[in-house]
Amino acid sequence: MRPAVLCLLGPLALVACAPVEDARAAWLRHTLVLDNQDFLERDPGLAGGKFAKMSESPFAFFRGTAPQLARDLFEPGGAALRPWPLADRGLVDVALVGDAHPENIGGFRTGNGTITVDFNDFDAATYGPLELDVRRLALGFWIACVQAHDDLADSAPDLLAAAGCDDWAAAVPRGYADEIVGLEVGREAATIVTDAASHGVVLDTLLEDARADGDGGDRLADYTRVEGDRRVMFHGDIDPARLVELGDRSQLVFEDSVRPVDSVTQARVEQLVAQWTTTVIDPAGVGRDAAQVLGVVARFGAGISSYPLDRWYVLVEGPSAAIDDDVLLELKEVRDALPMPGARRPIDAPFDGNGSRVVGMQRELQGFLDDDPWLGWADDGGLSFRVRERTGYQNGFRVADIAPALIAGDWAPADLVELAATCGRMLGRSHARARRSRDGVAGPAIAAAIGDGTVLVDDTVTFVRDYGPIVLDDHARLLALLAEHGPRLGYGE
Amino acid sequence: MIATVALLLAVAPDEPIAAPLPQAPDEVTAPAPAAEPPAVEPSPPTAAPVAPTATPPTAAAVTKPASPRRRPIASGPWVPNAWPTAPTCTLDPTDAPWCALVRADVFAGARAGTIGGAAQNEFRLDRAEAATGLLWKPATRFETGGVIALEAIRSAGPQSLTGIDGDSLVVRLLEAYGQAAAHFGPIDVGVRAGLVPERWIEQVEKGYDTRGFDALASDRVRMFDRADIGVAFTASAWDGRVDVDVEIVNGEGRAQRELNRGKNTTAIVTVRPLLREHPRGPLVLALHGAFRDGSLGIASIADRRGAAAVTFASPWVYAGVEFVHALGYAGRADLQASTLSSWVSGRILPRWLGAMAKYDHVRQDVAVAGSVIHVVGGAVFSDVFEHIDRNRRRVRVYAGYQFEGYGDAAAPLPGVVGALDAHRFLVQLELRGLARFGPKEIRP
Repeated sequence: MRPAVLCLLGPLALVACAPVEDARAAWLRHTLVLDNQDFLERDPGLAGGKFAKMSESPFAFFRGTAPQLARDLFEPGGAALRPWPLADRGLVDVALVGDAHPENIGGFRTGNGTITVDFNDFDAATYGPLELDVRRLALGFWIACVQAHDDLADSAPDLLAAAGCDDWAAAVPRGYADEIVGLEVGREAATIVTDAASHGVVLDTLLEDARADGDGGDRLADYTRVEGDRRVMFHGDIDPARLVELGDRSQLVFEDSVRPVDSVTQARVEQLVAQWTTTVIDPAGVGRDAAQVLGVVARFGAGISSYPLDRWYVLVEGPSAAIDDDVLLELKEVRDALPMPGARRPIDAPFDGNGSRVVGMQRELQGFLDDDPWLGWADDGGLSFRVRERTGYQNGFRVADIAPALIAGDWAPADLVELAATCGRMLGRSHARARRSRDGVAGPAIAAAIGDGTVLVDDTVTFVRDYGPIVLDDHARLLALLAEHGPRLGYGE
Repeated sequence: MIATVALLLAVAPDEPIAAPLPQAPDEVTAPAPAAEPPAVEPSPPTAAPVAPTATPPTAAAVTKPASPRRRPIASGPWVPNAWPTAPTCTLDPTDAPWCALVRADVFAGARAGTIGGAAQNEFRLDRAEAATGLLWKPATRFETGGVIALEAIRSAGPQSLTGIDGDSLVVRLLEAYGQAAAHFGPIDVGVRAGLVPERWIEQVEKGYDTRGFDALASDRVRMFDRADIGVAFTASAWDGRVDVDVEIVNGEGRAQRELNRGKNTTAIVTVRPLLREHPRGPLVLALHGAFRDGSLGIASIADRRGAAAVTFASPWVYAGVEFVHALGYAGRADLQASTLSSWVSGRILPRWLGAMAKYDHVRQDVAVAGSVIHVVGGAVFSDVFEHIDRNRRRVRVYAGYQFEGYGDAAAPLPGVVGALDAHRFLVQLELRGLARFGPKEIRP
């Protein structure tokens, strides 16, 4: 690309003569560095850990590249720049999950004790065209399918045909459209996944596991210890850290570790907790005593996109002084919503910060207002934190479980298609019942625009067929970039 | 030693006029401070330019006594923007060896209209700048100095909710450079180093008189960043009839540190076949051409530009056409984009009433038909006080209309007809001023 003659001039030319990567790889490296530059500056080890985790599977890469998808969807020259058929009908400000994908679905125990499964990560929630959520969710199922297919390639290649992955992707918009049409019939048609009824073998399993893990006191037992008549935070590795090989280099990746914090951080967290108590759905239910902080640790290893973010686990007193009802909270740093480059930010967006945005959108988009009754937020200067309870009830679907479950015969490919359809229905419910940024609830407008759903299904499937292989290729590009430039993609070197 | 101080406050609006670029800054982006159009009204006569002095020559002038230098500065048009031909102040090494500068720009107004069919109206502060500096002329053929300029931007990015204390305006460096100029007969050479203004924008804006209404397309969609860290060399011959600028800068713009080992190298040639004094002001026809070889980001992504422009300035009419082609754009090495901007403005009743029209055609991807944004605007304007170009004094009010339309394949929402089309009525106030403080300076 660059004229060789300029490079021959060497330092006199003062022009860039670095090896030229293919344009897509260069773009990928460029945008990954920009998106993570503050992490690369703040904690290079965690930033490198994020890239290493992203490299470990196509789905992990997909999880870590929502901003790249957004760029491809919205930017000139983007690999996924394509018409938006429903946005063209006026639906440009629908409340979006922002990062809807199969591993952002998990269990909750609501305020009245109902076990439910719902979307569980709203860090990227924003307003925009509804196709964005539908496309990302469908793409996620397609990549999950391809990954499971690859996982089975050696041991049981006949269990999952790659061609069937299109069915997984198509089930999402089909379920979405069915839900929208169903909601036109009556509110009772809304898909809210609870253990009161069956929602397919995969979600039923998730609900059962949530009930079992929650009732068994998981999380609290993992991260705390009882010493005499009091409960204290555990320090150490729940799951040990590991090294990920990247070419001739390696990168430490935390799996699940907690570390003590200094007194300054402890005081800071206590202030955040005090602020959080005013933001829960029922502030009267979280009194001063219930929010008394018993211990704080820094937690490392969670998430992929959010891997470098600050996370603290906080043990609070809970409803009584008894150690059995102590509550484990997670304070997680939240950043900006999913970018939509070039699109105008609505000036009447009803949130004044990222904490209130994430929590407000979560309540708007989930099945129940109190999916997590301890959900709230706190701000610390320019930083915002989402606060939630950490219990065994809050589990999550894992793509890595698909292949083993298929081998074990616990699930069949049709069960995954059903899961995709149900997730599509949940997404449709979320969009339809939430308020748009400028109007009332979006349901009637979506129903009027979506018709029988054919346009949405066709658009989504075409998108996934076109863009899915690009994501897989990008994952391969990331592996090559990390091998060539190191765990931090050459930043600061 | 010379010090220069400049303060600049610029305000990023919340919504770009056109937003073809991903991380396009909130509209804002003002031109380089030194870029001032020629005078429209006759400027008051100034002190004689660099007259031969009767005082003992400086050391530098011992071997060759200073000779009178003819510069078309009597009417002032090139004084604020004649780098490196003439300094901003009236200087001579004996009686007036130094000068301090203070300048300010404010663009503010109100807009009402619709975006994507939804009503939207707001008060805006598109630019607020203040600057100060110091120049020094130690020898007849040499002057030096420096400028520091600050601008204000919204602390949260276009997609962010949270900046500093909400989305407060915060001040950042726009320019910070030292400069030196030397004069050899008809040749003037200069160098700037530091956070230097983009010379393409400076040069073209000399022929663009209505910046308060709208930015040049190349500025608005970031074909060129307004400033970058590096060095800029300028050679000017025959009082600006030929200018050659060479810039070598990091290439990441003023909002990012250097991320690769390459440097952006830009060469700009400006020829002014018509450069005449008229009793009411200068007549200038300028032809501009430029090429930039550059790279962006840690992956050294191609970020090249080819540009050409024709501008005309006179006491009665300004007009121009600017075309910029990008080879590598917005972080995508394989993307080619272009902007075409044309404008005309003129005086109907000098000072009291003028009119302008402007059309920008932005092609986001030259390989995709329909990936276009059209921005058409027109306004009438009035100068509340008499314009004095030497002092960059301008208090101008615009009242106009602007339409922004997106092609059916234009990002960010291709195929969404009308979702981003904007109709807006504007009332815009342009306030600018430059004050000089020095031994021979008249009071502003």
